[in-house]
Amino acid sequence: MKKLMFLLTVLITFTLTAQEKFTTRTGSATIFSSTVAEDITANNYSVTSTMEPATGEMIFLIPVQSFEFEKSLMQKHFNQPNFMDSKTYPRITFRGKIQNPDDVKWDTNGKYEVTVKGDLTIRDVTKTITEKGTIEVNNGEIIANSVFVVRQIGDYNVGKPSGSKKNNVADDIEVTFKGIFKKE
Amino acid sequence: MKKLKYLLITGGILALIAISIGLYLFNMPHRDIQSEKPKYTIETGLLVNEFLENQSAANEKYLDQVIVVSGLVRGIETDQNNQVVLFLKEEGDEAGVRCTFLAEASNTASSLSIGETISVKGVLRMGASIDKDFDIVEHVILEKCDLIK
Repeated sequence: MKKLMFLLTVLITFTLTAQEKFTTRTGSATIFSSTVAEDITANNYSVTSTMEPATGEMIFLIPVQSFEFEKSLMQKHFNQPNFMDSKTYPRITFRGKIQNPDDVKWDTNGKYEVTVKGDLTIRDVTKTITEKGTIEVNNGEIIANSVFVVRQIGDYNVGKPSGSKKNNVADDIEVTFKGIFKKE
Repeated sequence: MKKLKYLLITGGILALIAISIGLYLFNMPHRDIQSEKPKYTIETGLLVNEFLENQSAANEKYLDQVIVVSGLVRGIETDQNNQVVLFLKEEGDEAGVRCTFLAEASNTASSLSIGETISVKGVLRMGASIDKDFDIVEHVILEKCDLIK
């Protein structure tokens, strides 16, 4: 009987940990493009993301129309059909896994380096990417940070915006992400 | 000689017009969402359901449009840009509407309390969806919001 109780407790604890999930709906993503012509920055504060410590699974959902540019004309070009076509493809998604979830002590405050590999989908084109980032465990909250480069944006069918100077958008776009995750 | 003078003046005026248009486009102000007339006025639950029932039709109808949404306040938080975000959701629904308020409207927004029924005007940036495979719920995202009195 004691043995059974022990097994049951282990099982329940295990199930709870396995289902534990952290979420943010106020993640920030900044994109940066640099060319000789001009530097362009846009900010987004409405990124939804989930993280599952037991499996290392991570999901990011980025609303394309939430990117705010300094110049309204840039924002218009960014959303138009031959660039991001945000009316047809309103979200950018990433579904991946932390490759080294065991390196993170999920119940101990501290900062840990992680590598995340997964599928990035922009305009219905999916490519596998592997990027580095950090995970900070802070009193039950998880803060995730990453700076990475999406190479050859044209491979995702993202074109040059018409009506603007040619080649003023770089091929490689730098992305900075920060999310403060809580148990939802 | 007279012809040349005429040409120079016309050319000058045309160049000035072109430069002005260029400058205007380059410095075009951002959309003032609050001064636009709302295209639709709808309750939270109905809006969410339209997206869950037919994602592409709802995208076509609502994306980038100024709308007024009414519903029950379920949550109040602040994003990384210090903007107040109110979460509206109907009892029993899985998804709701997240409204990010303009900086100048954040005081009024943060003074509200959970359980109040309010009407919010804003621009719709993304629809709701429920992904069972990945166990993730996406709420409608409304930005540049202010309360409707």
